[in-house]
Amino acid sequence: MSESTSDTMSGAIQHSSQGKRMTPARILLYAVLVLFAIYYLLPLYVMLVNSFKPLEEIRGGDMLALPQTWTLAPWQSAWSTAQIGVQATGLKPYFMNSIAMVIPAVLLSTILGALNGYVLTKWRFRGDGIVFGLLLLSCFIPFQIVLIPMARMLGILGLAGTTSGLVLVHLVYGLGFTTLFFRNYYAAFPTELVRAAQIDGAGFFRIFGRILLPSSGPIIVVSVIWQFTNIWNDFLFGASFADVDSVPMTVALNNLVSSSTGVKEYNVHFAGAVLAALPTLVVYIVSGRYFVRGLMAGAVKG
Amino acid sequence: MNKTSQHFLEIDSLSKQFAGVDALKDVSIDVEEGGFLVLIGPSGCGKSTLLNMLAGFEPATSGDIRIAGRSIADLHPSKRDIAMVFQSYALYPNMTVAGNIGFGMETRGVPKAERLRKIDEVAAILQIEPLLKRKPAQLSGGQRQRVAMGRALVRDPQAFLFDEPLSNLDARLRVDMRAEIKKLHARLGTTIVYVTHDQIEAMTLATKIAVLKHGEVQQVGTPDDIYHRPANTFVADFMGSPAMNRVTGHLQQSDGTLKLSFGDYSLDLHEPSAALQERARTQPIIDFGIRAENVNDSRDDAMTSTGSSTLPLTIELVEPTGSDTFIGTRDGDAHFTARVANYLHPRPGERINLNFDMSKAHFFDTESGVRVE
Repeated sequence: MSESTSDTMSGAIQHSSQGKRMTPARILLYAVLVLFAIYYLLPLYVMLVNSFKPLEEIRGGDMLALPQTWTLAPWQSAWSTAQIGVQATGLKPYFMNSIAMVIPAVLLSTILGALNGYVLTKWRFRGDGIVFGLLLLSCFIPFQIVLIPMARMLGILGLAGTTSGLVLVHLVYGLGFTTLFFRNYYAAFPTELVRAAQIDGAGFFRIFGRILLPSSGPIIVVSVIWQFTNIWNDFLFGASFADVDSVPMTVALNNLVSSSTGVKEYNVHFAGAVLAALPTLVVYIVSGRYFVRGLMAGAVKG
Repeated sequence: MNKTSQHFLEIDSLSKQFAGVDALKDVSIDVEEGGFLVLIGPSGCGKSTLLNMLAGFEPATSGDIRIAGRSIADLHPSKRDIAMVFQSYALYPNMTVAGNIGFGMETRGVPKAERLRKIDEVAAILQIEPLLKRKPAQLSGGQRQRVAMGRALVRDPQAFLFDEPLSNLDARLRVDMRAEIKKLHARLGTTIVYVTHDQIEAMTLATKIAVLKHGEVQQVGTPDDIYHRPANTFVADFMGSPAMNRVTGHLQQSDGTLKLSFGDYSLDLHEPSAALQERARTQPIIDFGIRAENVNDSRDDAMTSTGSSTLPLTIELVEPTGSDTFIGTRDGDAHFTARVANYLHPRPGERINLNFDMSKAHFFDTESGVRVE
């Protein structure tokens, strides 16, 4: 998208100033860009193409060839009948587990992050810088360090092996990032607006809901994309804390691919992997352009 | 409720410290009901801090604020019965103009019908009816200014607070809006506290001016007081454009006349006050000040008064402003700006006789800067 706009812009400039478009440097530039695009897209191509082939065709050798007979069977198998662990359920129940985990975790961490950012910029208190520093520190703690204490905490809270437990873990880990996003965004938000609302008699939550939130679109999108991708793609917490009925998609995909009985159904694996990546892809496509805009909004003046 | 004092808004020995640094030191100012108080001073003088304390955004370290005898120092901003117009206008970007004006009533639970009626009323006063459905981003600077005033007006408060409301407008619009604020004040009769660093705004709008410096009140008085009888050299230098001419001189009696001499020059004081005569005997070194409009070309008969004294000086700089021409002179240490009629066409390098109207002269103590009269 940005490539095409910069192309038309510079193309227009070139056109008006020189009257000719293609210099050798420009050809080289495009060649390199196309090469990189192919390099990045090749794995996706291989996955998609082979997920529509019968297994014999893959065994036949040519990974890059288009299917001779198109089939949806691998997709059906991956979704609903493939052997995962001991049961032949397909990825479907695990997909639902992931959905049940990711939606509350994303919403809660975004809302709490927004509230944190609001308090840290507009309701300053003694030591607020330290609180923010500590929250920020949580962004830099490697996941592995907290695995055992976290398991202990979940046990004490009675949330071990549940989806709620996973939501809590992701909420705690995401809060540092979402707070950082919203704090920086709201730091550029004029304090005079908050004061005007105070004179107008609006309280803490009304100011937040009526004045700040309606202006927070871009940063909410940033926070949602960031949290959604991280939580959906998480493997470690899912593998460590989930039980049979709360195993997320990523862990199930691993179980599908690494099950050692029978033949390796590559076409089913490919289809499963695409299914696992699909939700994040959708989130990016739907709101991707806000992502860049939102990331810039904090840096440049909002 | 109105106690013994006839003052409406009372700022009573208000102090404010930020991390041990004095932002305001023992500030006391009273305003009568319906008065227009302008707080003026250079940046960092504490005028905005004082306004924020009146609004309730900053707690006072000590002291009290009363409106109509009722202390408001501990009240939430919404309970003080004040309305504020902010420097940035602070319009809610996601609401329409009508929404902006009505937001306060909405939070107070005023029924919708009454809300709409009041919004229309205020919109009519400010002539912004056609804008009511627009968002702030679709308004010009002057329109935003009006909406911000509308939001304040609709509250019908006991006092308005204005925080440099005109500083974001271009020069022409600023003059227009200044006149509108003055008319609005005359029409509503509500007490106003107004912060600015523009001395023309202060002079034109105020019934009372408070000049602040480093968190301390330098002088409180009517615009006339402040301009014609500045309490010290700071006020004298700060108010008035071009700045007051000032030079350190020496008072001495000679031939029965009190003279002020500096460098090679001397000026006669025709009717010196007792304090100045006393000063000539005890402490003759003194700061002398005179405004440019009281220094004129001696050829300009209309401007020559009986109490004047003349000095020959050389023109260094000529600044025509249309109605008047200001000339700068410099001879050694004697450096003066004078206002002369433009038809005299003064030229740089020309020798000129300047009349000093010594009845309008100001004297200040050289050490303390305090006015002597």
